[in-house]
Amino acid sequence: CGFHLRGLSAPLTPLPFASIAIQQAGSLAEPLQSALQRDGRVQLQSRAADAEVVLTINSTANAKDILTINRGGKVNEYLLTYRVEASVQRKGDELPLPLTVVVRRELSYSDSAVLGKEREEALLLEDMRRDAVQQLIRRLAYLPVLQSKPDASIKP
Amino acid sequence: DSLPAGTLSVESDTLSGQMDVELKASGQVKATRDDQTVEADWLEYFVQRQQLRAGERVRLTQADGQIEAEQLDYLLGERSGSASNASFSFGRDGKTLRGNAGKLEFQGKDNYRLRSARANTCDPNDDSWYLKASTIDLDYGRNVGVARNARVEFQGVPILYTPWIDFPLDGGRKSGLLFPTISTGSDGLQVSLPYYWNIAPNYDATITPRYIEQRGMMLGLEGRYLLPDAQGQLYTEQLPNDKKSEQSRFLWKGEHVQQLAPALSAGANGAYVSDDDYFDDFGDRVSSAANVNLKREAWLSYRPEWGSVTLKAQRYQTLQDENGTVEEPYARLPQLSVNARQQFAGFSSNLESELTRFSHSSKQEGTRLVAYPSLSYAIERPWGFLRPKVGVHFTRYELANSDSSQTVRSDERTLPIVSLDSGLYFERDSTLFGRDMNQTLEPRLFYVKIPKVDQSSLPNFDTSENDFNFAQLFTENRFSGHDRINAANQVTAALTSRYLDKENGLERLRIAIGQRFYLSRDDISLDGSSSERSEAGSDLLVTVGGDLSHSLRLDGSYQYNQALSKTERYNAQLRYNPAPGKTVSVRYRYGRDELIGSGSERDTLRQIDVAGQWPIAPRWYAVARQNYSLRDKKALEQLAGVEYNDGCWSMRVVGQRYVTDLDKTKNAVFLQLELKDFSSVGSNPLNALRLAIPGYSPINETTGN
Repeated sequence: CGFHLRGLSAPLTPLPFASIAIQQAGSLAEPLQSALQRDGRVQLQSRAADAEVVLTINSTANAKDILTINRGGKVNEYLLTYRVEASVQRKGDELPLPLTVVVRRELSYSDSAVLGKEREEALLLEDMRRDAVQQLIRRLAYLPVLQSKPDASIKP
Repeated sequence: DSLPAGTLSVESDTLSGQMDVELKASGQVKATRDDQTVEADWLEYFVQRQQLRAGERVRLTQADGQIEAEQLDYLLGERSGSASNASFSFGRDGKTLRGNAGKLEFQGKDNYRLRSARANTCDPNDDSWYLKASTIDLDYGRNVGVARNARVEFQGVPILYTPWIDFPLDGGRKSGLLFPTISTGSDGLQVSLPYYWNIAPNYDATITPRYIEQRGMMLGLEGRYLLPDAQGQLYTEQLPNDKKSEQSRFLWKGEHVQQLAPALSAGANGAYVSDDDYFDDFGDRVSSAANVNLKREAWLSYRPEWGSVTLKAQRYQTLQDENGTVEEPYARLPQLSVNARQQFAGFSSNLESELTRFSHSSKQEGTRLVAYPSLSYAIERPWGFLRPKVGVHFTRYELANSDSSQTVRSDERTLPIVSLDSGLYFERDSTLFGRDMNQTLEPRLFYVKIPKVDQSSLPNFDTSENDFNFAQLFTENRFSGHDRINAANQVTAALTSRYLDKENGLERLRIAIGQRFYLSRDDISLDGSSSERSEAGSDLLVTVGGDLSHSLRLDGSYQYNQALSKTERYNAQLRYNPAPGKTVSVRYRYGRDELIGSGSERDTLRQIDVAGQWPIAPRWYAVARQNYSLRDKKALEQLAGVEYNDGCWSMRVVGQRYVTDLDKTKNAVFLQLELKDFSSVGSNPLNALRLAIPGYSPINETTGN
C-alpha cells in the first residue's frame, strides 16, 4: 500500500538546515530538545549565534472553555486548548517565519469529582504539550527553501 | 526657499507697513514660519511682540493638524493665543480628533484648550456622535485629553453626562468611563457603568456600579497590579441589601503570584461567595455553569533542574442547588509533593511522591503518603520506539476514626507496576482534497501489568475514574488520584494516521482508533473491591479531526461499549470560518449515560449546538446560537442578536436565554454601544459571545464585510 518504515528503507530527507537553537521555550525546552535529539538530523546549539536556525517560543496559552452543559445547566465537558505561538528565524532570511500550533482536547467533567478531574486535566495538558512539541518539530522539516541571497552569509 | 529658522515670510495681493515694527497684508495672504502656515483674507504682524493677527477666513496649518477660524490672535514665539469660531483636526499616530470650538486657545507647544467645543474621532463630516463640553484640554505632550462639564451626544441625543472625564489621545490605556451595558431580564432593568482608573503603568482599577431594578445597587471593584516579582488581582462584588432575597450578597475573588527566587515561587488564589445562588442570580451563563466548587488555595513551589517540590493548602466552597447534592471535595491541608527525575545513558529514573492531610466536615479524615519510584529506558529511532518501565507504587494511610479522632488506624498498599510502550512510524506519499500530503501510519502497543489487590478498606479521598480517551488509553491506571490502582494485565492497541500538508507540514487530518484488551479479567472497582471483568476488551475509541482547509475544521469522536454492544458516546463538530466575522459551527453530541444537573442523577444526553456570526448586509452582522437538548425537547441556551458597525461606532443588541438548573431558566437582553477610540478596554458581553459562538470575532476588528 506504499507505506514504508520512516528512515529505514531510505534515509530521512535531510532538514533544510543543519543546526538549531531554541529560545524562550520555558517548560517546552526539555521536550523540544529531546525530540530534536531523537530526530538526530540537526545539531542542537545552546547559543543562538551558533545556529543556522533559531526557534523562538513567543507565547504559550492554555484556555478552558465550556463545551457542553447538561440540562441542569452544569458543565458536562470542557474544551481545553493549548496554543503555541513560535517563530523560526533563519540566517539570511529577513523576517522570522511564524508557526502556530493549536492542540485541543475534550475533558468530561463532574462537580462531584473535582480532585480527580484536577489530575485528569493535568494529564491531558501534559499530553497536549507532547502533541504540540511533536507538531512544532514536524513543521520544521517543511520550512520553505531559503531564498538565495548572494550577499547573505549562511555560515559564519 | 530655505529661510533661516524663525523667519516669517508673507505673500499677499497688497502689503504695507513699517520695517521692523508692523506689517499689514491683505488679499490671499499666505504667511509661513517654520512648520506653520497661515492663510487668511487679511493679516497684521507686530514684529516686536511676534504677534500675528489674521481675520475672516483663517487657516493655520502645522505638522500635527489644521485649524480654521474666523479670527486668529497668535504669539509666534510662545505659540500662545486664541482663535475664535474655530474648527480643528489634530492627528497623532493615525488617530485624528476633529471638532469645533467657540474659542480655541493655544497654550504653548502641543497644548490646547477648547471652549464651548465638540469633538470626535470619526471621519470628516461624520457627526454620528461627539463629545460636547464647556472646555476640553488637549495635551499632546502627555497624550491626554480632559473634558469638563461634558456630555456625549449620540445621533444628537445626549446619552452620558459627566462633570469631568479624561481620555487618551493616542489609543493608550487611560482612566475614564467605559461604555454602559444596559440589559433587561429576569431581575428587571440593569445598568452597569464601569469606570476604568489607570492608577499607574503597573496598577489599575475598574469600578463598576451596577443598578439592578429588583435588587438594588451593587458595586464591583477590580484592582490589578504588576510588579517586577509579583502580580495579582483582587475582585469583589458587593450588594449590601438585596431587596429580593433580603440578605447581603457578595463575591470575593483574588489571585497573587510571587517570584521569590529564580526557581522559587509562591502564590494564593481563591473565590468565595455569600450564598449558593450567587452566580445564578448575578453571573452569566458561564459563571453559573462553571462555579459549583470554588477553590481557595495557597502554594509554595520550588522547581530545580531535577524536578519539583510543591507545598499547597487547598479548600473548596461547594455551592448546592435544590435539585441534587454535590459531594463536597476533601480539603488538602496541606499537601507536599516531590517529583524528581534523573536521566543517564538512555535510562530515566522518576520519583512521584506526595504527603497529604485530607480533611472533611463529614467524611473519614486522614493522612496519605504516596511514593512511586520508577525506572524506564527508551530506545528511540526515526521509525519507532520501545520504552520499558518498572516501578513500585507505595501508599500508606493514617486514618482518624470517624467517631473519636483519638483512635487511629493505619493501612498500606504496595504494588509493582510494569509497562512496555512501543510504536512504529510508517509513511507514504498521498493526496487529500487535491493537495499533496505525507500520510503517516503509526501503530502503537502499550502493555501494563499490575497485580490485583483488594482496596475496599482504603478510603477514597481524591480519586475518580478517568474519562475514556486516547491520553487515558496509554496510562497505567485508569483512576485519577492515588486511592485506587486498577489491576492490569492488558494491552492497548492503537493505530493513528495523519495527513501532513507537504507545503507547510500542517496536520490536515488525524484519524485514530484504539482499544484495550484484557489478558486477565481481574479488576478493581472505584469502591476498591476486587471484581471480574465480563468482557475481554474495553470500549472502542475512534477519533477523526483536523483543519481540513483554511476555513473548515472537523472534530469527531466515537466510543463503542463492547460489554453492552451499544454506542457509549459520540460527537461531531464542523466549523466553517472563511473570514473574520463569518463563522458557522454545528455540533452534535450523544452520551448514553451522563450526569444531569448537579447531583448524581444520570440519563442519556443528546444535544445539538448550532452557532454562527455572519454579515447580513453591509455593516450588519447577525449572531445566533441554539443549544438544544433533543432528549428533553428543551433549549439549553438560545442567543440571537445583531451587531452594527458604522466605522465610528458600533452597537449590538443581543438576547439570551439559558438554563441555570433543572427547572429554572434566565433571560436577558443586552444593549451595548461602543464609540470608536473613546473607551479603550473591552467589556463583558463580548466575552459571552466569544464563548457562545466558536470563531466569533469582534466586529470592530473585522475589515469591511
